[in-house]
Amino acid sequence: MLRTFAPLIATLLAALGTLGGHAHADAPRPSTLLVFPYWSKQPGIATLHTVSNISFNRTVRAEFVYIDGGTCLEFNFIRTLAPYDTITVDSRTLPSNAGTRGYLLVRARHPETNELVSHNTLIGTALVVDGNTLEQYSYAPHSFRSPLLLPLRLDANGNGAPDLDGVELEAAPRNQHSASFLGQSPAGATGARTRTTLYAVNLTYRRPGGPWTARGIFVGRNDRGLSFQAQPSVGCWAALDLSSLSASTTQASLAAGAHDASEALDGREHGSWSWSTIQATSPNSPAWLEPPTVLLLQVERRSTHEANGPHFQKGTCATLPYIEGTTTTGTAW
Amino acid sequence: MKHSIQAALAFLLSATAAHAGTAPASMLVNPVYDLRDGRQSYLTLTNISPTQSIDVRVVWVSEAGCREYARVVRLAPGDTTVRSASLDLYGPQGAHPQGARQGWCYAYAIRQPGGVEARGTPVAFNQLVGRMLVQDALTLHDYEVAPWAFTSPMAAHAETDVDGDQLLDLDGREYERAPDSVYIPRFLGQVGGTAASSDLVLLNLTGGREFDVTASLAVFNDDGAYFDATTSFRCWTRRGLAQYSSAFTNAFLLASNDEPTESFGVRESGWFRIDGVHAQTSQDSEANPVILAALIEGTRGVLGGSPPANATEQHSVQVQPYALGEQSNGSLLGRGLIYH
Repeated sequence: MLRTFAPLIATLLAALGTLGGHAHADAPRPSTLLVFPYWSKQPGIATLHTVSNISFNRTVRAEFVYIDGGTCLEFNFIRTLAPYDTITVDSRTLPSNAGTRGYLLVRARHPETNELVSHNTLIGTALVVDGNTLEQYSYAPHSFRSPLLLPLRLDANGNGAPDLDGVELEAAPRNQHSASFLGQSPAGATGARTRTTLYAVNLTYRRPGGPWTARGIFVGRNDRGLSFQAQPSVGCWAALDLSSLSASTTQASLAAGAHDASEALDGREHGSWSWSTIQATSPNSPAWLEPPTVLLLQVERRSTHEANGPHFQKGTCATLPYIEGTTTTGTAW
Repeated sequence: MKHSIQAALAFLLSATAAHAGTAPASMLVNPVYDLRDGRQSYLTLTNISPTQSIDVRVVWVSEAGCREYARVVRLAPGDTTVRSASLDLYGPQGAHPQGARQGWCYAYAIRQPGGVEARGTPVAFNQLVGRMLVQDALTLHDYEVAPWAFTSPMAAHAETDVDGDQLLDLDGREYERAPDSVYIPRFLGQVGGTAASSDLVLLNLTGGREFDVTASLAVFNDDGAYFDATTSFRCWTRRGLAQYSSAFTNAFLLASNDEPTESFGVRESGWFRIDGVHAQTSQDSEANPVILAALIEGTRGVLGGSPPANATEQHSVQVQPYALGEQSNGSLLGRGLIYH
C-alpha cells in the first residue's frame, strides 16, 4: 500500500516543501545534484572537484559520474560522505577508460539502499589547473535541490531516472545571460589576446528516444545593446568559442560597429550575450522536445601582452551565467 | 485519481521549483573592490531587457567607515557598461578620498531621474546582471568576484521603499531576503611564507555602518571534524584567512585527526560556515545579523612541483559561496546608531 502511494506522497511532500519557501538571495544552495560543466584529463591539466556533505546527521553516498563529452559514455564511482565530510577528486587519477574531457554529475545515493535520493546538503566547487598555460580558475557547479523534503527516492514518475522536472529535482533554466564578455581575438593572434569559451552540457541528450541534440538561440550584444544572433547546436557536451559562434564577438567587429567609444577595459571592447534553448531533435524520434536543458559555464582567458614581454598580465575567470525561466526536459541519468 | 492528483501537483511544482542559480536582479552587492597599490577594479553592469532603459545607482563603499561614493549610470535596452572604481572614486584628477583604497560596492535600479532627487527613487527592475573584475599588477593575474544578487518581488518599475525608511530592505517585500548562513565549499590550508594565502571578506548588512558585528565561523577539516571561531568587525573587513583562526592553517589541519589519505594537491583542505551572531552599537543591538562573504583564494603551487619561472606569479580565484536559510533584518545601508 505504502509502496503504491509512495510517488504520490513524495509529490505531496514536495509541494508542501516548495510552497512553504520564501525567496531569498539568488546564491547557490546546498543541493541534491551538482552539475560541473567541465573536467579534463588532457596532458598538463588537473581538474579538482570538491564535494562536501554539510548535513550534521545524515551520511550520503556521493556518486561521481564523469561523462566524456565526445562519446557521452560515463565512468562512475561512489564515495561515502559522513556528516560534515568532504572529498576532493583529481581528474588525473581517473583511469584511461574514463574519457578525456566533458562534464561531471554528482548525485546523492542512499547509504543503505543505494537508490538515488533527495539529499539537499551537498555543496561543491572546482579548481582547474592548466600547467600548459599556467592558468588556474575556480568555478561553481550548477546546483539542483530536490523539492522532496525527506531523503526520498528520486523517481516520483516511476520512469527510473532522476528528472529535472520540478518534482524530483528543481527545473533547469531556459534562458541564460552573461554579465559581459571581452572582444575576442582572432585565431592565432599574438600580443593581447582574449578567448571566451562556453562549456555547454545538454541534459536532454540522454533522455529515452535520443540522442537529443539541442538547438538554441545565441543573442550577442555590443556595449550599446546592438544585437547579433547565432543558432548553436549542442550534442552531449560542447566547448564553444564565442568567436566560432559569431564573428561579431571579435574585438575588430565590436570596435567597428556603432559602439560606445568611451568605454573599454584595457583597450578591449566588450559586450554581453543571452542563450535561450529552443528544441531538441533525435534521429530516433519523429517528435521533438522543447525546450531542451542546456547548462552553460563561461570561461574567459585573457592576456595583455606576450608571456615573455613586459607587464605581462593575464587572468582566467569562470562564471556561471545568470538564469531565467524554466524547462523540465532535463534528466540526470 | 492518484495520477490526477500527482499530475496536478507536478504541474504546480513545475512552475515554482525553479533552478536556484542567480537570476537577473534589481540590486547587485559586490563584496570586493580593490584599489590598493597595483590593483584596479572594474564593475560591469548589463541591462538584459530588450525594450526598457533603466538608471542604476552605483555606490562604492570604502573600508574606512563605510563611507559612500555614488554615481548614476543610464543603461539602454541590452546596454553594457564598465565602471572603473578608480575613475568613479578618484576622478580623472586622481584626487582620491581617504580610506577608499578598498571596500565593496552595490548597484541598484532607480527611477529615471526627474532632476530633483539626488539619490533617485529605488525601483524594481529584475533585469540587471554584473560582475567585478580585479586586476592585480603585483601578482600579474586577474580574478573576478560574483555579486550577491537580490531581486525585488514588486512589479517592474514600482517603487521599492515600501516603508519609507530610505533604506533598501532585504525583507522579502522590497527585495529578497538575505541568507541566514553562508557556506564556503573549499579552503586550502594556509602555510604562510611565500606560499599563496587566501583572504576572507565579510560584510555586515544589519544595522548599518555604525554597528559592530560578531560572526561565528564553523571550520571543518577533510574528515568532518569541527572547530569553532568567532570574529568581530565593523561594516566590512578583508583579512588573511589565518588571521580569523588557526584552524585555517595547514599545520593545524594536519594535526586535527584529518583524513591522511586525502589532500588537495600538496595542501590540506576543508570547508566552513559563516553565521552572524549579533550586531550592536552603544545604543542598540540586533541578533543574527546578515553577513555576506567572499573568499579570494590564493592557489599558487597548490599542486606542488617546480615554482613558476616568474617568482612573483600567483593565482587568485574566488570560491563561490553557497547560501542557506533566510532572514529579513538586512538593509543597505543604515547610518545611525539605532536599528530600523
